[in-house]
Amino acid sequence: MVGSGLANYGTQFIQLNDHYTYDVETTGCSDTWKTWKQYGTGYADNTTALTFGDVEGYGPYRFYNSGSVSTVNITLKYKKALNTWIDNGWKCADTSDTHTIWWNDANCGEWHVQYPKVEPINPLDRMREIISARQAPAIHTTRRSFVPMSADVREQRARETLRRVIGEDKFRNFLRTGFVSIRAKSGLVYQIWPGSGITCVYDQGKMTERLCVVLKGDFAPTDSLIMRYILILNNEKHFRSFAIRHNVLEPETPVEPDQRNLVEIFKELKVNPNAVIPVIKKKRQKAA
Amino acid sequence: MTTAVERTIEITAIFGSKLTVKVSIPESLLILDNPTDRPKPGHGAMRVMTPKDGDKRVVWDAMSFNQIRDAKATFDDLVSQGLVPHKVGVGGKQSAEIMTEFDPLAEEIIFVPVALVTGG
Repeated sequence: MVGSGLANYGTQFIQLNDHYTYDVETTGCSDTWKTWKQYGTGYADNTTALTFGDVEGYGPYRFYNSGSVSTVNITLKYKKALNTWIDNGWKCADTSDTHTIWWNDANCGEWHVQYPKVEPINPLDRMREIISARQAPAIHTTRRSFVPMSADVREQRARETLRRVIGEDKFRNFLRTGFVSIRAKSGLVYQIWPGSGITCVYDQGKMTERLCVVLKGDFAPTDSLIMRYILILNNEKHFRSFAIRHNVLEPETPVEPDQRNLVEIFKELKVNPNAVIPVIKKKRQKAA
Repeated sequence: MTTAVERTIEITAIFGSKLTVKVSIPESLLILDNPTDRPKPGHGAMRVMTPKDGDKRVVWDAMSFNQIRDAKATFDDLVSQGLVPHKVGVGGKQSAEIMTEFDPLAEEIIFVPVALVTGG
């Protein structure tokens, strides 16, 4: 008996030459290779062979699914007598597309082919695998631009001027973050926002001042930014002479909330109307 | 393309007033109207901040004596109206210095209406 040896990966059946179809889930098998599959019974002729597609060597044998790159390692052994299995004795003839394997014992009984148990794949899971394998790596970027496009041609011209002055990299940064930072000769870093925005002053990473300098008139917001940029670069003191200083906002200090219920708080207030109940509120401190 | 009407720069003469002064731009100088237009290599640009136009960009060819002469005349006119010219470095060079006289080889000159700068 010669089988064509086409195996369907992931299914329960192996079809040989359209003549034999066997169930994979054969009981009583060695657990080393999961399950045995019975290919045939009662072969006593040593010329009878089982041919698999593209099987290598003597064993463990492998066969390829038609049209698929999956391979399944199989071990062949034949049964000489009842419950006696012999591993050796298999021979393999390498032909162009198929390999013929036969056993060298005329008195063999059943012969089995064992291969690793193939778990049937859920088509939905398989689809997910295929889709995720085709996707590009997950690179998360912040694409949203802080500075929206402007229809005002004056603003467009001003941005073009800014781009020319501060350079491409800083301009891209400006579009992303919405501000331009500059280190003055004194070592202070000025964070300039467009429009009537405040200019924040940082000293060694800590905000020390908030200065407000504006360009009176209906100027484009970026023109105001350019003006401040140039003034700071040219003469920091001159820039400061225009500025009005605002308070630096301190971060909120956490206040422990009152865990009591309202009934208890009310009772305390009834007894002592002047009692101070912790209330969470913002604290502002004046800049030094 | 620019029209004859646009070849003027309106400058607010006095802070807080609506009085404006118009400075005319000579015909030999180019005006970049389109926001994406950039000066060609070898050309300098004067950018005047105005409320009406945002940035009025006047370009001259540093190899043309006529254009240099006209650019200098425009420069002097603008300075006389109270605008402060700053020679700025381009391409990220952090430099800005006040110009006392016209430099034909300057790449960017930005006129800042310092009279309109105030605290807010």
